[in-house]
Amino acid sequence: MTIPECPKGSLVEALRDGRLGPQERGSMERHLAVCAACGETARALARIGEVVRAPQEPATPLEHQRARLALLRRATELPAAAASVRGVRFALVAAALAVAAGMGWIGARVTAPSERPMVAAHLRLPPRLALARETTLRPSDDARFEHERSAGLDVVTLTSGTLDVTVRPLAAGERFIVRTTDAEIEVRGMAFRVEAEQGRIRGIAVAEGAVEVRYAGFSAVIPSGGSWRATSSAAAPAVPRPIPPPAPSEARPPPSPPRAPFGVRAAPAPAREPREPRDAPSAAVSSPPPAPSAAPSAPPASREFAEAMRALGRGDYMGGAAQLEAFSVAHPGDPRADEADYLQAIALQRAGRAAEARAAARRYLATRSEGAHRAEARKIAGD
Amino acid sequence: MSRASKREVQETSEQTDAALFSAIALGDLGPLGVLFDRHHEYVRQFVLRAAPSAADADDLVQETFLTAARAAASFDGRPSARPFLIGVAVQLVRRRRRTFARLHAILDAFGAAPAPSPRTPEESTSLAEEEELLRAAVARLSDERRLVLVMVEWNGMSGVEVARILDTPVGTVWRRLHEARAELRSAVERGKR
Repeated sequence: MTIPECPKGSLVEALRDGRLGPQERGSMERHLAVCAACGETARALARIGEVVRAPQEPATPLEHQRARLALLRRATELPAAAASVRGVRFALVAAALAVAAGMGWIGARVTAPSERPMVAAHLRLPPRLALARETTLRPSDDARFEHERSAGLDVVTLTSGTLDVTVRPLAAGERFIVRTTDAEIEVRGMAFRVEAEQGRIRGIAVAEGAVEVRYAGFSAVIPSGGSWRATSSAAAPAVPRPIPPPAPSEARPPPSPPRAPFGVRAAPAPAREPREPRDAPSAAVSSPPPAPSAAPSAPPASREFAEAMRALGRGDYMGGAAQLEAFSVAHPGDPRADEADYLQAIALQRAGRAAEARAAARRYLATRSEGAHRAEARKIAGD
Repeated sequence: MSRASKREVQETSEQTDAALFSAIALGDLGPLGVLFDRHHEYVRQFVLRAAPSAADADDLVQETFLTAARAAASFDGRPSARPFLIGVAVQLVRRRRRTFARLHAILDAFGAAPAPSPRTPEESTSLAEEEELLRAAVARLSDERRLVLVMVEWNGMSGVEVARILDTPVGTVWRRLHEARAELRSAVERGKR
């Protein structure tokens, strides 16, 4: 049987969407109780809503971590990341470790090669050893390394191959460090394996105790049974830097804070300086050599953009606008050029230069046909 | 993880969305992970509904966060970044191209689809079937109609909020919503016949 249409049928949708005033709403609600046609319409609309709201399978924690890892990896490839990738490097590795932990790879002997993540991979652990009375280094056949010792500071520089290291309990003030050109491993435990290739870290597996690895701007402790493997492109080669000798008065030197990748450190410190760790003067990289595997992004562009943003942040809107304009002119192909052009208008508006802000917004609209901020720019332009 | 690193991560995770976006705008991408943890599922659920193919969802979610990171400086400082992220996701859904993955998924679905079989009257009127009909019809809606429908019905956004995100008059929002619902009801009616 067909239900005849009701003249009030169009109001059912308005009621559902909250477009009726209080009086109309009350009237329509009473009408719905007695009108079969409108009741049917209301049920059909509700059914549509239910289908749209029907629960969708949430991402599993593993899927979440994988997506997070992929996001952070891609984010580091953005030009914007070049200003400071310390945080994301750390997060990237943390995410990688989380993915690995989620799949039961860290500390486990079972591997799943088909789904092995790129960053964290299982390393074969060195044989478990009794607590060492003396420090020993057991190199692989192809290992190349140097061991220097002075004033309680042991530094092993590994160029290639694998090194099984056992370290006797360190006395107060003693330090033991394994170094490659791009990483430092501070020993906190007894036995671990470190692998390098062409001077660069490949991976670490810890059998006893723990080690602290400082790599590509992050610092993390790998516990007993844990392992970690470096990405091939996560860090630029580092310049070897002097390691401060141990402080005789300290029972144990504090671990060095996370450091930015060496290739990035040449840029001025980003705005969050108070939270950035400070380097000893001797660690300053004043003239890093060209880094063949450094990120393809252009640090000058990131620096200029960050400086412009800092100017805006401290209220220097005119200065910021000028810097943004310079950025846009100098780097027209940069993904942030769209942002820079739009922010010029915002900066001028905040500086009280309404006419100039309108002109900037119109320029943006004229030149950025696919711009991400056209709607906002139109408002500023007054069009 | 060193104690300092732990503290830093904790501090970051306690920051507001606005503070995280400010840090990202200044070039520190670390807080992007925190934002992702906070809002990934919400954005994903939106995209699963707003994009016609689930095959696109993961890519779109990634692109949403990457685009949001690029546009961090324009975040307006509101307490939650969700409307901002949804706005970005909407633009990406609108601009997306038919990816190979999506095409592949469509072809797979086409190949795997069972041949229609005669239905009993009881089957025809089942709610499950109606739900299937509706789901399929939602996927066939135009992007503009589907986006409005999802933003109103799932996000619970007002017409004004939707209009702001889509940069259209409020009247257009209501018109598209009405058209979307009418199309869905017609599809269900046709499917039942």
